[in-house]
Amino acid sequence: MSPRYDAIIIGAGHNGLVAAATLARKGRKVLVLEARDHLGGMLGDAEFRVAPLPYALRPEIIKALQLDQKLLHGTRPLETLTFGADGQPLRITGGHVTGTDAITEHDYGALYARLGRQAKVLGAMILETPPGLGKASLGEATALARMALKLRLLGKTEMRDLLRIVLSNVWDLLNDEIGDGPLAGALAMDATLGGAMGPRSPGTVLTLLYRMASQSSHGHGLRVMPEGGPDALVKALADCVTAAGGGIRTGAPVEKILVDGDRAAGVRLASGEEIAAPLVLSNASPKVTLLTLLGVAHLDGEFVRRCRTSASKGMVARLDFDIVEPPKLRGGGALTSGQRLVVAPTMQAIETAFNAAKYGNLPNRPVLEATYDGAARRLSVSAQFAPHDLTGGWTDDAKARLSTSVLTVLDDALPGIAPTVHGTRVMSPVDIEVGYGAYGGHWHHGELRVDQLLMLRPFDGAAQYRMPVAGLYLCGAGAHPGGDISGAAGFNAARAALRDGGH
Amino acid sequence: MTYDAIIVGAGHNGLTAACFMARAGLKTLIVEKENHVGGAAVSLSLTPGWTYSNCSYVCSLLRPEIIRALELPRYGLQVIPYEGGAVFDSKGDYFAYMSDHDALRRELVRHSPRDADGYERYSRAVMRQCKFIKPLLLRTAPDPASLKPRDISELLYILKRFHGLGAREMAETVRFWTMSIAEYLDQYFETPMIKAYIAGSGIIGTGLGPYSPGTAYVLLHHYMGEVDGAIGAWGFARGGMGSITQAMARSFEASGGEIRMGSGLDRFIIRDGKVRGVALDNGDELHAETVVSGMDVRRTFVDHTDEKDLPQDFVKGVKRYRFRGSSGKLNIALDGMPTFTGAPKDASFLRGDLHFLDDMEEIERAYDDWKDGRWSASPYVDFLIPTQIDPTMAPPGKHYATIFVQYAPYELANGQWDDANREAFAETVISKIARHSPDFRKLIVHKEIRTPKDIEDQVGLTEGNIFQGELTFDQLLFNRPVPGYAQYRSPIKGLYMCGSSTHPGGGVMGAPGANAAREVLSDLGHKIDMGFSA
Repeated sequence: MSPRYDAIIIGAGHNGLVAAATLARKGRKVLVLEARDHLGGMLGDAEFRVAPLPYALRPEIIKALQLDQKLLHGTRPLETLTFGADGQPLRITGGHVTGTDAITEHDYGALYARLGRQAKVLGAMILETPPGLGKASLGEATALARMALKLRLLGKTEMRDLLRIVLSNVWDLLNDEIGDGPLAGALAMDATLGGAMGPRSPGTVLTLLYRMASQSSHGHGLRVMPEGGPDALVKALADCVTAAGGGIRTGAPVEKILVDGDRAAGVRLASGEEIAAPLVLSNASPKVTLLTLLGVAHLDGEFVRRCRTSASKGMVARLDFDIVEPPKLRGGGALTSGQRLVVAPTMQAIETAFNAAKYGNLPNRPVLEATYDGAARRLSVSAQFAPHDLTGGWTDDAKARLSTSVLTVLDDALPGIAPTVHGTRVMSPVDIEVGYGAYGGHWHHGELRVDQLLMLRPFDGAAQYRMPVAGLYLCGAGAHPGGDISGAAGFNAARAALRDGGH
Repeated sequence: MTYDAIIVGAGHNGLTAACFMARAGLKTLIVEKENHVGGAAVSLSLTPGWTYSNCSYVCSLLRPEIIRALELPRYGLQVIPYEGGAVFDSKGDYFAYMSDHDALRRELVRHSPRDADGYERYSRAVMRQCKFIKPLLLRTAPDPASLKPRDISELLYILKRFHGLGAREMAETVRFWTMSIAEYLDQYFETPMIKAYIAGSGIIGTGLGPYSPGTAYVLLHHYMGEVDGAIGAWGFARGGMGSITQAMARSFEASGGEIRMGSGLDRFIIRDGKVRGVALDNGDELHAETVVSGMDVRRTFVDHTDEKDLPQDFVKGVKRYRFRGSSGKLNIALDGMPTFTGAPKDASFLRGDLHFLDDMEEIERAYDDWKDGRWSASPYVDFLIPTQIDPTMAPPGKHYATIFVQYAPYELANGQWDDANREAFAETVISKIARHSPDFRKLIVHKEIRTPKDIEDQVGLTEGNIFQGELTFDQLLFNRPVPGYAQYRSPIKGLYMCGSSTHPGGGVMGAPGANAAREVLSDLGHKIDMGFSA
């Protein structure tokens, strides 16, 4: 078989599309293969979205791919609503909060600004290939030096503060600065959502800073919804691929990555069709890519062991509720499309929910992030913690129990919501795993933890996008810098592949 | 009275600092509130015939450099290694740890041949990490925010050593310093009991569960000691832990030092931002230009220093510093040697640390109880009977059991640590042990119950934290106790810290005391000869 393509990209999630577009715009002939019938991976389609909400594609990528600037600038940050034990909602936009007392408002604003500055230091590495451990190239060493400089530029006080908190937990940080309550709950949701850690787990300050950093070069961590919703983003990326001469095939699940000698040679589809290409970039999770698609025969034992033991246990279930009317908020008004609802009244509530999940059980009171799509009349809820390895399995009964408890919790913020629901779809971490090639059903394809970040992401020996089989790259959230909709992993992987030889 | 230096508190770190300072020729005084030296390293007789190591109970971390430099064996210290340990599960099986390599391998293979191989890889990894950390223990941590040549060169020293590990070991170091002990052990082992046995070291003394990131480091903290050059080994100080501090006190007095017991500190005397001495609670005022506090950082600066003498950011840092006591203790006089279901009588592993656990989840659930302000319904216990090896601590044929218990909160969510609750707490522990040792309960002659509250009240460790503060990364190295003040100096000129609240932290190690003494002597312009090279 003679190669008709320079590169094959497995998976048309946003990272796959960004990688394909980046390669195609450099004149490489690319083909994107998507198992499902629609593009966008977890961003989903009109029917169902795993990641319905936060969109913050890096502005540098929008610029490099010459995407419509409106995707970035034509939108306003989402307002977050969060409820305490009683009363009116707190309304949060970035560092600004209303609905609480003046002192808390001020303390929160100061904390948010400080975290934002500290997040920017971490942000220095987001669009870089992480330096190799012990053998950094000049460019990589420069990136590291730049990060060290940024750290120094914070000034003594904030630098010391960052080095103190960076590996600690949000529980202590937020108790010190603003006290536990709905505001701390909302921030702790940002720190824990998608991962397998509760607010008391050390490392959650890092995930919070990381989220703030990866969503924006300014470290402000705002979530924005593009005009036209997630579909507009997916379409823009797909158009960018095709406009540059790239091909995209849907309904074409890849079964095997082909290897010729010690090089990637292409892929075989489930249909048996073989497509040759010297470069293969996989947007599937590292474990699926390496253990399933490539196969352990091509890897050494130690590498396989590290791959297997890397943490990627999904803890979020997604629920869609069809409702007849916009959900009414406690205290008046309705939830609108431009808002994000967080139901986590305290950090303690999040920790309690996590306690159950640690042992493979569903919490009685899950904590939630929800958005309402007015056009589709749909309330989309991310519920944590819903363990991938649920005791007794993800039966219909388990899903029904989860759905009931989610509606009970929602009732605190949206009184009378349950009777208005006339359709429910529940997607467990297992469904996410099966549907999207994300091992363990993990949003980020792998836990975002110090031992799985930067030069250790997804695991030691597999960082820097290049896999042991030459020509094979990871371009999904499993690779640095990880999850959420930033596009950085795809962008960095494509640039690494281009640097390596420019097939 | 005027001295060159006054040390507050005759705990092992205060004594260590004092010894080095007296040896350097300073006229040195230790003030101690109790009528005995030792702090949390004591041997006390609470019932006739028995001696309890009623706080710290085993020895490993005490730096050999300090033992040698202070000539502690000459002053009576003898550390006897114990060989073994075991975990008993609820199904009647056990996993026995043995220091004999072949015996241990046979026992590992009995449970899982794969774990026997895993253990080889695991112990090599731990050993390499211990070797990496050990030289850092007796060095002052650099301040990464400082541009002083000394800090920069120290930082470079650490980075160079880190880099020298090579790519694979660097990754291993990151894992060890940040991962949870549960996930760390999952990389090497499959047998729940074996993992549970090892995981205990990851949580002892800390307010974290085995699933919490950061606990792999706590394990390392318990492994970096040695007995007679055997790295990671633990032993008993003959005559109880007090024999360590008594040897130190003799060494100190032989160097001309003076110890005043029976009255504690009322306050530091501070004028013009400089320390001038101490005022004791009996009204005495003693003068010195150098004062070193062996108390924890909160006692030193919140309880005994006027806030207005301190910069605001420092006060904030001290108040934020986390103690969170999580452990209690039972000391029990036994009428004879208890037997254990399933274990051969006189088995060598019974001379070590015994645990009663099925898996790591049991420890994590015990932690969840503590988070909610209850003592663990099924606690983790570290149970030892030192009198099998050291018969000096009980009458002939009788035994002494030390039982470290985790978790126990400093404050109960429902109620106080009154006698009823203390008894109920002890009963929880005793009944757990009795399930595996049917004759244990009826052998009890006397028991002492120590909750975190008791440990605070009686020993002076804030919130009963045995390490004088949590061993989480935000309180290690240059962060311990407060960023910017991690080099034993305080904002007040002449006032130093030498307790376990400072780098490298708790355990009967002596390193904070030795490091503090080095900084003091360096500030006083003394030629420094610690008797070892740092």
